[in-house]
Amino acid sequence: MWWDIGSTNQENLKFMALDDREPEAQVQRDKARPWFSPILGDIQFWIPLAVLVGGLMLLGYVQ
Amino acid sequence: MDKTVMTNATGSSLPRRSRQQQLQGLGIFCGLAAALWLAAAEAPGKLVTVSVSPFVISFMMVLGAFVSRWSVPALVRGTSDVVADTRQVSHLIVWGILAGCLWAVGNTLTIFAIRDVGLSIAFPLWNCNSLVGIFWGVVLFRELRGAPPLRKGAVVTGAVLICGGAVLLALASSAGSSPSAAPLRGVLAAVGAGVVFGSMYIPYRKAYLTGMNPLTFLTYFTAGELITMTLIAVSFEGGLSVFWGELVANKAILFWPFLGGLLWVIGDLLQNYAAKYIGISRGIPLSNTNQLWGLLWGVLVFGELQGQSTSVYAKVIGGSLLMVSGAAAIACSSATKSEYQSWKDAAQRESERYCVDPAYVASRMEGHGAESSGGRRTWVDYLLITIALVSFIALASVARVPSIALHWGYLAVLVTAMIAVLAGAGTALWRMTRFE
Repeated sequence: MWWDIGSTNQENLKFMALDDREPEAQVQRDKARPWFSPILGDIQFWIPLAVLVGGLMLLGYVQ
Repeated sequence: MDKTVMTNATGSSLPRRSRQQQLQGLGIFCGLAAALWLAAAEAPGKLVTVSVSPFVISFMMVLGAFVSRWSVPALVRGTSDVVADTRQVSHLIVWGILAGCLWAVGNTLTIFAIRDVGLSIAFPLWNCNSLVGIFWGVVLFRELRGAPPLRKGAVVTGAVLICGGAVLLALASSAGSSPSAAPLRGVLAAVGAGVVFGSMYIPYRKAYLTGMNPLTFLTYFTAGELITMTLIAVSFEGGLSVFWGELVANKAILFWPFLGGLLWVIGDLLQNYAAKYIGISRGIPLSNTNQLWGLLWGVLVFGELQGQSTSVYAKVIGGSLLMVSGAAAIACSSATKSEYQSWKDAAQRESERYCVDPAYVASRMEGHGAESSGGRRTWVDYLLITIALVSFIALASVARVPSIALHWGYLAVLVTAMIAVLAGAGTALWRMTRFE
């Protein structure tokens, strides 16, 4: 495996430091993740929603 | 062949192209297996021989699907995995619920379509949902982009052949029945159902491009389905007390659609895995071959179409051949490397728009990232599984077994086939993706 061949302590430390940063970055991303406003600007939300409303109106008609 | 080497969740190293091909094969198998289970989901409904409101049947099936989601899938992956998955892509809750709402509305429209124009006209019309699915797949998710013209043609031709086969099978299935006199209303309901079902695949693809686990998606899907179906049933039946009265009065038959819900949820889960690994433009037409299996259930197990004319049998054989050739055309047109890259571009768009970790999206798209799964079940899971089991036992204990002549030999063959494909798909999904 690559980490068994020619890796130095310094390289390992660098790798561990990167690993330590990842969860923190993830936490920041989670905190900052604004998902409500992107939904409103996403056509892939409005198309099925429009179809749902249309389907309900059609249901009212065929009933 | 691309020599890029990657390490998968199980620790083995595979060339990237080989991994894609394996996932394509897995998706095709899941799509075909889904057809078998989705067709079987309709079979328990045939045991309801008394006149019952279609809303009661539909509601119990949806309730069965909701409860069943907490049986088999909860054994596969614990609730904690669902929570962890939701944290990564919480925006997809909206799409899961939306897809469930669409299913409930589409399914109710099919009930009215059958009432007004009969199954032979209604079914082919709403079966156009696979063509709607292909349209959305191409327009919104870059599916089939970069695919050679021959493969694009094979997918579209395959879907058209499956629809054509469905027309013939539906005509044969409804031989002798007489549709009522509201053609325009019935046709509108059937076409509407097709558009609603076809658009339901937008949330499916959305979820799987971003990397959500199908079991997580199904959790929100069944919730949306149950909420919408309850609202529709209560409002159409004339109020909560009237609807409750209907349920109590028909308690002896409620188990059968409830059991149908269990079979449906397994079929839908397989369909979701197909949508994840081969996209909606291929996965949905494949699972739409369920009409073929449904006919087999009708003819072999319930003894339908006996003593019919030669033209009916010709339609059955012709329709079946069309469906099989359509499925074969799609199965043989797997995505090329350039098309797969196009999927990745669409996934990147999702990642950027919703600030989802690109590494999460990339690994889930290739069926990795399930290192947290497998065995983390808590008392909550066991409690939910127990409630689900008790619900089935309670309804079964008051169920009346109808006196219908069933061909038990064929029933055993079909059930064995279902278990075999489920075992095959389950093993392959576990080995290759850890149910990711």
